[in-house]
Amino acid sequence: MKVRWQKNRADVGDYGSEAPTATHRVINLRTWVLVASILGAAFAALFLPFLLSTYDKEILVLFVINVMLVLGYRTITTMGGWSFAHTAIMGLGSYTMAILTQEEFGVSFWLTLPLAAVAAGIFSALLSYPVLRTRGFYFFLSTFAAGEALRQSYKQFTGITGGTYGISFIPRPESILGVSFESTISYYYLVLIFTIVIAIMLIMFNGSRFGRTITAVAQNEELSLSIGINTRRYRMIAFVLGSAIAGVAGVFFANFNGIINPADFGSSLMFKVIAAAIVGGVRTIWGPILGLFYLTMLEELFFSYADWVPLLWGVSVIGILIFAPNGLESIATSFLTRCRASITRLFDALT
Amino acid sequence: MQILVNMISLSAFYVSFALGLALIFGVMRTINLAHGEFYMLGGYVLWLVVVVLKGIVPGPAIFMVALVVGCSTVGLLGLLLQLSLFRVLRSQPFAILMATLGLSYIIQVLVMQFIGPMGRSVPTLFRGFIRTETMIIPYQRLAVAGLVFVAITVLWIFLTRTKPGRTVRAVAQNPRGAILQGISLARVSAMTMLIGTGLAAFSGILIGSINSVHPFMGTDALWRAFIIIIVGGVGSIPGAAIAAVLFAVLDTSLNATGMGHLAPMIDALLMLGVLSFFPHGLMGTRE
Amino acid sequence: MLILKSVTRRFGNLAAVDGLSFEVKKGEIFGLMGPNGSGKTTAFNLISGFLKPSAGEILLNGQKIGGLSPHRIAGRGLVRTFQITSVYSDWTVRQNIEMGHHLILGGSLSTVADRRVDLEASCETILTFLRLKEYEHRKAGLLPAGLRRTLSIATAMACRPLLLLLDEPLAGLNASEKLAVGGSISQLRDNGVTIMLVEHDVRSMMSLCDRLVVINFGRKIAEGEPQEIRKNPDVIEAYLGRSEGSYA
Repeated sequence: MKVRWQKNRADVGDYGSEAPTATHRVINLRTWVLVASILGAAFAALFLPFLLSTYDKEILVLFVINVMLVLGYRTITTMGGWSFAHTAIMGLGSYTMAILTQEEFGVSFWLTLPLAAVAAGIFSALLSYPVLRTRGFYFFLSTFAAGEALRQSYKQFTGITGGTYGISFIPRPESILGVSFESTISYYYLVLIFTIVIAIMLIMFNGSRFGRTITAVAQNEELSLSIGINTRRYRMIAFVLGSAIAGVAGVFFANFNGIINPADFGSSLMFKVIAAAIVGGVRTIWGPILGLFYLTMLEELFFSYADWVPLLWGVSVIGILIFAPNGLESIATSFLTRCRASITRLFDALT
Repeated sequence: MQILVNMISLSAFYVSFALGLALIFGVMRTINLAHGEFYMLGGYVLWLVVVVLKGIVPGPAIFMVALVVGCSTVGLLGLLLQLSLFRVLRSQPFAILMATLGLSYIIQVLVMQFIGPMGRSVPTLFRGFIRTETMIIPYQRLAVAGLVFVAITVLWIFLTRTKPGRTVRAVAQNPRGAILQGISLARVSAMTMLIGTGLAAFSGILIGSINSVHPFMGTDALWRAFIIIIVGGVGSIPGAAIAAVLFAVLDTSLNATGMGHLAPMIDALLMLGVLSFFPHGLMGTRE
Repeated sequence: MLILKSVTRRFGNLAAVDGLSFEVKKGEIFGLMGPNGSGKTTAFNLISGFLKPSAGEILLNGQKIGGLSPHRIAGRGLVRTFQITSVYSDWTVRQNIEMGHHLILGGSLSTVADRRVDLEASCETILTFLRLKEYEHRKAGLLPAGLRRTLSIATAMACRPLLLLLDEPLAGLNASEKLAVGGSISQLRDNGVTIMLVEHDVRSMMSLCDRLVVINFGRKIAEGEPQEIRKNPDVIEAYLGRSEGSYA
């Protein structure tokens, strides 16, 4: 009784980036396309800033910082949770840096980077105790409330955080090896390097047994428990890792702007992050980046109608959920698969 | 004594707002993040009605008209939402959550564009107050508390004594069993959405009559509703009511002792504390 | 291997399992039988850690496991399957079985080369043994019920359990599928795995199991070999005395 449920290898290939088996490392057309696009993107990334106006350069820097933030968010979603506290935790990193680099403490920017990651990490680890007992909706709601509480404390502890006025005159990083970071272009390369390193780290983490276990827990928690996986621990690791990355993003965000206040970490930025994840999709690393790119393009295109932008984002989110729930990445992937199929057919026809 | 008045007043507001959300979640198993925006729209309806009828009709009448118009139109809007978006995404409750998140921004932007980003204040419609030795009770607040009390009683009667109401509760407790009994899930969902959204508008009108209305009042209120629902217990309607009163008492006390600005933090900490020991809230029995 | 001593679990005022005691011996296929609502599922969940006992002790090879969380109990060598078959639907059969090796590969951080070789050999063995080799690269969610069932057993086997708990492994299968899965279960026992089953199909239970315990209303009413159980008047009454009719 052989049932005709056979699917083609393309399905399995889609999960190639997560499978540890050697069979999917074979060089094929898809790999060439991938390599070409990575090189193209790298080229663009390296030289783009010189082509842009001052304003656009700043947008580019903020875009890269947001990419870092969104990558951190995706890490949390790999364990199945959609948090709403992400940008508030980012703020923790921001305030850590902003406070410590002030004159009275005089800590070097470079030291505040790991400190901010640690601060965000510790907070999220503590938060995970109550919050990871929940799933799905309740996780969303409880992180919503926790994030709001955190933001409120940014407003309330005026002595430390400057309250609603925040902290200004945040100094740029000290020079390293003679390279100063006062200019936008040098700052761009700084955040670009950090983001690329983090992205590579996450790709490796995803493909490792660690990352796969987290995916397993997200797929089927009951089963994972029964085969000995400490689901609580793995979910917490994803949550803490993603939050630590948010903390680092927060450092750059606040530092680049030179000024922060609690409003920066409110629900509109959080919505942007979530929208990027939904519109782009979270299965791959580049999915949320694609989503963020789309949202940022929208924002820049409608610059003169800036107030309408959240509405456009909202419409985009609803549209994707209805028509392409797996996000832009799935549209891109199936498009590329079909290209590959047609090119293969072309090859066959010619030979 | 004044504090007691404030507590009751705040309880009334929290209960009506959270109850609508809890109802929708309990029955339809999905959170409407745009709930806050429906609440906000209710408030704006009040403002509009005031603008139109001011001076023509006495205050209390304006209030009643606003209630009728507001609850019905916003309720219908909610129904429309349920029939369109919720139906389409019916199989993915989490997608509905995200879609309503997007929707809330759409509504906010529309309100800001067509009415204006600044808040609007609504003049007191029930003028005057009772003054005793120990306290002052504005009639407005009295009316608000009274109306909430009436609404909750009506809701309670509806849910426990009427057939449609009991059907709603049946679905909330056991959706599959309800279907097997021949209950139309679609109809119950529609009805629940109508009532739940109407309740949101109702609380929006009540609060609008006391404070001002502004495009972001929904988001301000929503997170508190979340805390209330989580503490009360997911899917539990009485739980939501009890938690609402609890937090109203807590917040009023904090306000009275001059620690009002710490209220959001303390509320959230309380929620996290409860969650640590009762992952399903105080009265949650779901799952 | 597994000993239950007066295990009780209450839900409110109702005791779903009440003072239940029995013993599963090493290397046997042990059956847990009882009419609907007798407490079989509760007993299963108690043993595997998905529920905590209200009273009593559960011992695995002399160590107390009552009240431990499921993943810890799995770590002690007790692995279970689920009545509603649970697989990693998005992954292939092979990927499912690979994930099952989580425990024996130790910490998740190790991806040392020689562990990789062990993994592949182990997967091959399991795939061949349970006749899943030809479905190796199929997506688990798309498999028919019988194969999914076998896959869940394969994934459990990857943990190298001392005791395998199978929750209604034959439910919903047709006759030939039942024979196939039943055959695999016997084979596992022959290879040294102790197995405990919960099943409704009385006939299959009688032929598969070495020993049985029959419970009703959460209490043991008989324990012993199939031929004794078959003749036990309490057992007959428990099954036939109920209006649901006979099970077979």
